[in-house]
Amino acid sequence: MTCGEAEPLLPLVADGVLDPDGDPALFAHLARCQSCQESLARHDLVTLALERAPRPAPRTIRIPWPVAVAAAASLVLGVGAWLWPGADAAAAQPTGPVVHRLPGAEGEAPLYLIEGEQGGVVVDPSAIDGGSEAGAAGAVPVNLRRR
Amino acid sequence: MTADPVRDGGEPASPPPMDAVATLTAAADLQGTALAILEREEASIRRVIGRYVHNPHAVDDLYQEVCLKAIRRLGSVREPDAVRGWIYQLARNASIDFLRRRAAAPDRDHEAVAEELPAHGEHAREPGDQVLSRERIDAIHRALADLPASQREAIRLRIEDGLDHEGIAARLGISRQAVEVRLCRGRAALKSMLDRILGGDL
Ligand SMILES: [Zn+2]
Repeated sequence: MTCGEAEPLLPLVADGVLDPDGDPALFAHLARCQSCQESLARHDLVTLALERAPRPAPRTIRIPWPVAVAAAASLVLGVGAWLWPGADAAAAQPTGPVVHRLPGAEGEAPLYLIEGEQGGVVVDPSAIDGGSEAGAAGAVPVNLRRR
Repeated sequence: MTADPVRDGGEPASPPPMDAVATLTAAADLQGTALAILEREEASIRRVIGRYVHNPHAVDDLYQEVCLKAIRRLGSVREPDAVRGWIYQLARNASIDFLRRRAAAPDRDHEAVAEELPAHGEHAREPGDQVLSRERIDAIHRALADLPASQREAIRLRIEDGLDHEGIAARLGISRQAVEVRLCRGRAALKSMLDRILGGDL
């Protein structure tokens, strides 16, 4: 058996329907062929990956800038002052990052908009996992450049 | 035409003693063959395991497990080439089962499986590189979502619902052959996507 003959059969091996009893020639080839072993290992990795649940997709958050400003202003400008004691909520030009609490979608937790000099990040607290790196998936950078 | 002495003998003859000796000898040869292969092929068996499992201690354990299974279950294998193919499958299955156990272990960090997987490509030697990282698992799920619906559905029924090919055929109202075509095409596409992610060099 050649690699060319083996390759199309590998999905069926990964699928568990071909085994050494069913196709001894294929498995004799696999036992000797590094390339087909690697190929089958990748098919198997695909299976293993699909057996595991994907992470829930981070909410894609598009906030039109005027809406974000209005929401932040009308809702909880005080949160910024509380989290960033140096930032005076009343100041026209905040010197540090400012945190705004934004209303979540219907039935969902609120979001936080952290505004800095260069731009902002919208953070979904429900997607943050104990402060681990994985939780960074809950942060969605947004471009805050004003027009 | 000459008469068949066994058939025409009228009663089933007990096997001649030589047959029993031959059977035992064959069994001993088989065992010798498997042991010789295990000994000679240690490096290649470990390499097969290493395609799935990175941790050297786990590779040791799995190699021992494969040897024990190979020695215990010799009966069904006849010739050296077949023994090699069969041992390859033992090593592959033991590795996959190990990764499934790791993924299922509730007290472990869910990223642990990824750490066991070997790295490939130009960054293969970098410690900590993870072939089946969270990002790649998610990418494979996204690639599944991008497959044609017919292939995606067949793969979901197979992997997520655990249906066999007959069951999928019945569920979808198509032939078993059609199920296999969809599964093979879909799996080939997902594997190509993983090849691209891993850089493609074997
Ligand atoms: Zn090959």
